[in-house]
Amino acid sequence: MRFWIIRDERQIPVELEERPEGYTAVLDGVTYEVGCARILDGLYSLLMGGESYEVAVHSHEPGSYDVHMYDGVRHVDLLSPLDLVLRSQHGGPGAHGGSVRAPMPGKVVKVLVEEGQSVLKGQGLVVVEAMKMQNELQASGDAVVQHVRVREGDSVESGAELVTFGGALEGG
Amino acid sequence: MINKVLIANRGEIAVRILRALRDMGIASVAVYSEADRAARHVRLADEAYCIGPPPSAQSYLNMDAILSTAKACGAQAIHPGYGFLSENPLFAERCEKEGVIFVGPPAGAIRAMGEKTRARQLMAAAGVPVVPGTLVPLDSPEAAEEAAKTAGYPVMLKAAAGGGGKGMRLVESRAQIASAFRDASSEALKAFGDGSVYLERAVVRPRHIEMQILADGHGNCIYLGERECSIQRRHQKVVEEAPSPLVTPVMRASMGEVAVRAARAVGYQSAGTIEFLVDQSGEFFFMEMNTRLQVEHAVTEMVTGIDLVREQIRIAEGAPLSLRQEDVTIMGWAMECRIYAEDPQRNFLPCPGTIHAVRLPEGPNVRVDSAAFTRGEISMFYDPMVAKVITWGSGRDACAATMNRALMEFQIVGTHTNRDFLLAIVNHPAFRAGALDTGFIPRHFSGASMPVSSPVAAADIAAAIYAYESSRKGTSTAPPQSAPSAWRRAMMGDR
Repeated sequence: MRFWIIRDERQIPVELEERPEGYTAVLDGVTYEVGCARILDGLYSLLMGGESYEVAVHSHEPGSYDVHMYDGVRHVDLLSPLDLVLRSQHGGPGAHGGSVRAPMPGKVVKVLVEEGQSVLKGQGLVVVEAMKMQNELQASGDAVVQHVRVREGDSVESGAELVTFGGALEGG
Repeated sequence: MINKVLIANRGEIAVRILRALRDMGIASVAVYSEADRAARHVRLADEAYCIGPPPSAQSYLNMDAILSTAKACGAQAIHPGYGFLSENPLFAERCEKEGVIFVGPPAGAIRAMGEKTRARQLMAAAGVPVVPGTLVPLDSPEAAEEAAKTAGYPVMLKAAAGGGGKGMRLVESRAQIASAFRDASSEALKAFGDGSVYLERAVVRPRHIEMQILADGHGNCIYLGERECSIQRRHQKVVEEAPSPLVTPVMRASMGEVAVRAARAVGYQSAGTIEFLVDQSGEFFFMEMNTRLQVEHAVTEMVTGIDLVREQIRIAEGAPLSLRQEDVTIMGWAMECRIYAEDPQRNFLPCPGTIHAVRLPEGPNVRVDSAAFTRGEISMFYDPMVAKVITWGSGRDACAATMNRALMEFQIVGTHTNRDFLLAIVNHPAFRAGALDTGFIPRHFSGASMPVSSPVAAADIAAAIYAYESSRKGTSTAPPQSAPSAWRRAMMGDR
């Protein structure tokens, strides 16, 4: 799966591929074989080319991570494909006249809202599965659902409109 | 004999006092505000009672509630810790009046040292060196020149009526004094409507060095060596050590004797600290006395092997000091770093919030005094200091190396702390060289040069792995704040 690190106004790609004992990571074009032991949720032991790192990752908000290491805390802004799509939607779901689109090709596993329903910021709308991962798409502001364009089991293309909103109430 | 003590405090110091009590086989009583129901001092104590709502004025400063709790539960003594009621002479008086032992000095000693100008006069009268100068306004450039000659250059001219740097002039030599006097005087007149100016010896690049003393009710008073506390940010101590790299055995004895004289002059009992302003040549001047246990008392304990809280309790019981001056030896070196929940990247803004996970350092020569625990709240109502990391070494270099190791292991996840800033201080070449003065932090760490860890591949990849694993669970990449994670629960047990 591909992510983007936002740093110094650059988008640095980082690609992860799962391996039996960890990941192959391609960070800004450089390949790392990463042995990864998940000690507890958010706490990892990483072995990279023999170098050992213990890291604790904490996230206060989507896309923003504090990575605690022995020599210091690093702040990492990292976007998933989903985050990237949401960002490009000028405020994302919930904004006036906004809609939620599929961040990647996949299958709709669950529809959590119906037409005419009021939703609150952060409320789950649709769950899309892609690459064996389920992503719950959430409202980024308070709004009323106007149309639900998909049903459970539908296959969707990247960028397909899933839910549209009528009168935006607030947020976005 | 005291067999039950109420601790009128919270946080790490309440925990520390409680531990001494348990070592001594004395029952401990915690008091807590409504914000502290889950706090560590409540859980570790033998008994605990709520004394009021979260604001300190209604709880930890509430004399009525604390005294009535002490009497109701049968505590013979109250240990005030530091801060809160510890230096309040009215509280010490009320304890005495109501038949509860105040673990600290007599009210009179607190009062005498509490009024800073009066304390200065008292100390000068007792032969304790104070910064030389005049406290009466000077009436002419000639009088200024005369006073400067007595005080010794460089001198500082100061407006009698005000502060904030207005009407202040640093004068390096006799050639400048007359014009500096006229400038300072006219500036003071403009700023405060009063041109009166007085003069003091200027202490250039001062160091803050303090002397720990112990005094009992039988006329015994000893000193336990100094602590250097020059690493300060806005008058708040950040890193302390004992001994001081500046102090020689001869200077220690001389400072110690002066400190004992100062304590005797006010009829002091219990543990106390005399703070000195020290110039780079080692000449020292009385600044003030802290009539309580200090935050940084642990470094003295580490190099002397003396439990200061135990001594305080024994003195409060009426026992004589358990040791004489010649029994006190300084062994090795100790340092303390204060961990604050604050963000050095945002002008040290305090960061109250929930601690997601804590990992405390372990291993040889490391002591941690802390009340932080996983899932604990850093309350907006109280001080943002969450822990003290204390290390010992056979010498200063070894001690600093161990401090570096301990800080690396120290981790609080979920809120910002000054840990990385402390690491940068402890590893700074000027710190390692012992080149300390109270201007150390502003000189070496101005806002623009706050240390930021440079990006490393492992951190970027770790963030990506975390985001990936979170998304696989079908949740958004940010875990809900309320969900306790396994690592929150399991890491370091319940600390």
